[in-house]
Amino acid sequence: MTNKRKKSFFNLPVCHSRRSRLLRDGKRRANQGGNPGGNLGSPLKDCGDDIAFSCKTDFKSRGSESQCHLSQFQLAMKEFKKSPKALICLYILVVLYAAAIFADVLAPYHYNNEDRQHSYAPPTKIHCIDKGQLHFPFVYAQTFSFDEFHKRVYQEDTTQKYSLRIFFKGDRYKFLGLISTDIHLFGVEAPGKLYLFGADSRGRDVFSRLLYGARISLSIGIIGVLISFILGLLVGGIAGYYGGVVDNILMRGCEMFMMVPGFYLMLALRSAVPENFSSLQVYFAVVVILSFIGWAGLARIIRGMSISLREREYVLAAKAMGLSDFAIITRHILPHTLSYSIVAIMLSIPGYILGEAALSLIGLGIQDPLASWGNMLTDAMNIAHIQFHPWILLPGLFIFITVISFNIVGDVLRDCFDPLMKGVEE
Amino acid sequence: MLELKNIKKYFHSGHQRIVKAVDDVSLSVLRGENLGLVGESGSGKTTLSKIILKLLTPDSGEIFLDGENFTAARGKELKDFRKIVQMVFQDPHSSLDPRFTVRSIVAEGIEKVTDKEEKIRHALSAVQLPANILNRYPHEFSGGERQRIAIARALVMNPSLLILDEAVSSLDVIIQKQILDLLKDIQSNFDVTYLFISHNLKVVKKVCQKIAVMYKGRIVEYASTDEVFHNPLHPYTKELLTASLEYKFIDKGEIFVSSDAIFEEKSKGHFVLSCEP
Repeated sequence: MTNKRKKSFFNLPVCHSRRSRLLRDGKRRANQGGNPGGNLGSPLKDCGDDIAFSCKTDFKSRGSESQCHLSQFQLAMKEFKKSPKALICLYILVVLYAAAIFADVLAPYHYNNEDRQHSYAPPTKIHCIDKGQLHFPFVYAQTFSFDEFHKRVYQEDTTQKYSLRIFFKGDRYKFLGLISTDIHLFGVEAPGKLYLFGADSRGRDVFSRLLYGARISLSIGIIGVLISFILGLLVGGIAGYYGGVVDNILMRGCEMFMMVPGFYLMLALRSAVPENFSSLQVYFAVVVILSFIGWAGLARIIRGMSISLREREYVLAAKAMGLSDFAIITRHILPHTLSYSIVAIMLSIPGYILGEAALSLIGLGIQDPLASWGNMLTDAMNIAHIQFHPWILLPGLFIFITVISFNIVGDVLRDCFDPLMKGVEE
Repeated sequence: MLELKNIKKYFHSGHQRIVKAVDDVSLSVLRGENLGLVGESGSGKTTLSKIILKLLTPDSGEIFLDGENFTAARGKELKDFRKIVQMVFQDPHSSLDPRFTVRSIVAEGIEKVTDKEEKIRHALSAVQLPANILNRYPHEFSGGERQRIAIARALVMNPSLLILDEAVSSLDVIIQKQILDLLKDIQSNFDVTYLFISHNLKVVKKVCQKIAVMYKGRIVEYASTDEVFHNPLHPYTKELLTASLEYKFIDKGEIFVSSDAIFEEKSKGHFVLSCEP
């Protein structure tokens, strides 16, 4: 048994650096275990797939039913948890999405709460000590004067101070769209202003707008990806399963979409959207436009996979059982493309986020006063603004962090679904 | 029960080359009388079985089941047909979906939800597997056990004809014997007839009352098992017996098979394809 496993492991092509890592780790462990001969089988010890083998022997000896039911997906998750950078990125994404969901509680102001007196106000300093005495954190009022270039220069007015409040009553909103309330996690008393990340040209709080913008920018990625993946999976699955004329028509259709450069197709589709759309309608128009561009590439790959999958005997068996074609495609073909699809989903979400940002940046996407990370960056199109008010670039930083996180998570996921691992399992 | 009339299936493989996978095959399977279909690889056995299952449409010919013509069956008619005819595939490693538990594999063909669990358990006990394996995945089982699961999946449909396409060929000899014994057991409990496809005459001899020998897409000999073993008439049958057993026959070189050869009855129930040009 051990012999056979060893052989199958080393016969596999060397296609990944993780293999050498596994080997290295295994050797180290073998040495620590006081086994100078080095058990060659040990590199596999921690690769998760070992469970498949131990289970098999377990069944033969009619042993307990413990830990046997690990699917390929669960094995990949096990592997995923071993990568700290992927976990950090996953946590970042979880935090960002949670912040987007609870934006109205976390943000001290409504996204459209403007105050022209505080145009481009810098990030507010939070103080604890006033005249040598310790206080609950508070902020000073801000006044401004014009310098010789007619640029506003803000100063703190230390005579007026406003205390920071937890569960502060501010702008009214509907919590999760259901409960009407006015409680925010934190804020400062009315005339005072709290700009954690500074203010934009109309004196709106960048921090609050970032949170509200996250709702749009992050959800567009998810919804767009879902639409285009449902479309891509179905079209690819049907084309691959039926083959022949159906395949030809569907694939030529896909190529029509792939032929046009993405950005121009995006602009052309956007121009077809009526101008009098409400902001919600524009949002959905943008989602649909973005998913229209993304599905074709996926459909082609899924088609290729389902052509090979439809020849499997369990598909023939299902056919002989009298299952409908649709049931066979959704039960026996598409689930087998899942490991690829999950990785592809993760790696294509950044494309949607960037697409939305690009459309909004040039004023064709989400319209002011609604906030999205893309249209917040419109302010930053002027070099002078970036020079004097660098905080207006923050949405760009958040886009960067999100895109990087999705890419790293997707990358590590792809490693976890690596063919090397599958080869060992089967 | 099953009757095939002049089934033809040609494949076109580029450059106007035509592969006559199944060439004018007529065959009947009687209820309770297992038929063994033997022949070398590429002789068209599997193509024929796929045509019987209606996974492939024949170029010409007709398929009758209990006197009813199912050649052009579609929709509901086809569904009824598929309840009667089931198949067990050669490779138990690829005929079970690795993502499904044993329960969902076996339950796949059951339509009504009411007595699902009972049917699954009944099928599992018929193939002598314990009921506590229902939540496990195929990769946790050995080849023999997987083949039992595949048989259970077919049995759950309560078929009257079960096609076993090289069902024991990928198993080692001990497991082969176990599965063959199991098939005999099943036949005493279920009203099922086997169409046993194999290249191994010894295996066929164990379960089948009748044997049809297939060569280059044609049936070259059709007779009872005893007749085939003791009085083989067609040179290909003789060669097949020589190859698989210690029988000694003279090799006659290239065997001639033509599309317009005559299939004639030499003695009662013993049909042979003439091989004179």
